[in-house]
Amino acid sequence: MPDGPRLRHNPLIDQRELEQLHDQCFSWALTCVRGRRAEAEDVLQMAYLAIVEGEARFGGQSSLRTWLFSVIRNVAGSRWRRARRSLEGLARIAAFAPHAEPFVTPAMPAESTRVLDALRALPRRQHQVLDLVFYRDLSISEAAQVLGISLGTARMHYERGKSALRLRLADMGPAA
Amino acid sequence: MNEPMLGRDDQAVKAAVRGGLAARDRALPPPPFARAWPGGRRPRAGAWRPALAGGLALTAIAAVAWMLLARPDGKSAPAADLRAATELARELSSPDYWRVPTDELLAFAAPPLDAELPSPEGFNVSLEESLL
Repeated sequence: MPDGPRLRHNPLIDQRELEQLHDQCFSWALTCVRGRRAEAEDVLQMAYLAIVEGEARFGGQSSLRTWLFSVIRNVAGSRWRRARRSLEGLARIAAFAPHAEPFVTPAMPAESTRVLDALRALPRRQHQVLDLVFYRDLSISEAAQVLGISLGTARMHYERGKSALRLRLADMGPAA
Repeated sequence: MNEPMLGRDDQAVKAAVRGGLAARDRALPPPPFARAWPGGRRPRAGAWRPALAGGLALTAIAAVAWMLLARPDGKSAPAADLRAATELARELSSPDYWRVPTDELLAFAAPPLDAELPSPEGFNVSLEESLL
C-alpha cells in the first residue's frame, strides 16, 4: 500500500495511490468523452481539482478506484450538460454524435478501430457499462455505483449493450 | 451474484472490447500526473477578473473622493462640504447608489458663493425704464 501524503480536504485519499490510478482514470475519462483526448484531459483535471478542494469527498464506502471513476463520470456529465446549454457547445455535441467522427488513429489497427466505432455507436450508458465490466473488470454492481444507477438498470444496460455490440460487430464483418 | 456469466459469444465480445480499448489507450497515452494534478493551485482562467473589477471600483471611488475633497484649485473644502462629499461618495459607491439620498444629503445646504452678485440697487433702472 502506498504511504504518501494525505489530501487536506480528503484525508482518506493517499496522493500516491491516486497517482498509481492516474492511467486508469485517464482511460476512463477518454471513454466518458467518447475518445476525445483534449476533452478527457480537461475532465480529469477538473475531477482532480474537485478532489483536492474537497468538492468531491471520498467516504471510504467503495474502493478508491470506483469512487474516482464516478467523480470523473460526474464531471464529464456536468460538462456535457453545460456544453449542451451553450451555443458554443452545440458544435462540440455535433462532434460527439456517433459516427460523426470515426475513431481513427494512425497507430491503431483496423480491427481496434472497428470495435471502437461499434462501441461509440452504442448508447452512452451501454458503452460505459461494457467498458467498466469488460475492460476494467468491475462487477456489474460496481459499474452501477460508478454510473449512479441501480443494479437492475446496470444489468439491463449490460445485457442490451452486449447484444447490440455483438450484432454490430457481426454486421460490420471482418476487418479489412 | 454480480459477476456476469459469459458464454462463448460473450467471451468474444469481451475480448474485442478489451482489444479495442487497449489499443485506444496505447494510441492515446495519458498526460503526466504532475500536469493534470492541480497541487492545491486553482488554475482558474478568469481569476484576474474579480481583482481587476475590485481595482477599478477602488480607483473610481478614489477619483470621486479626490474630486470632492481635494479640489484641483488647491482650496480645502469647508467642513459641511466635506461631510456632504463623504456621504455622497459613500452613497455612490454603494450597490444601491440609485436610491434617494439620505436625510443628511437632503438637509445639506450649499455654502454661499464667494463671487459677488450684482445687487438690484446697482442696476439703477427706474420702473418706467423697465417697462419700456
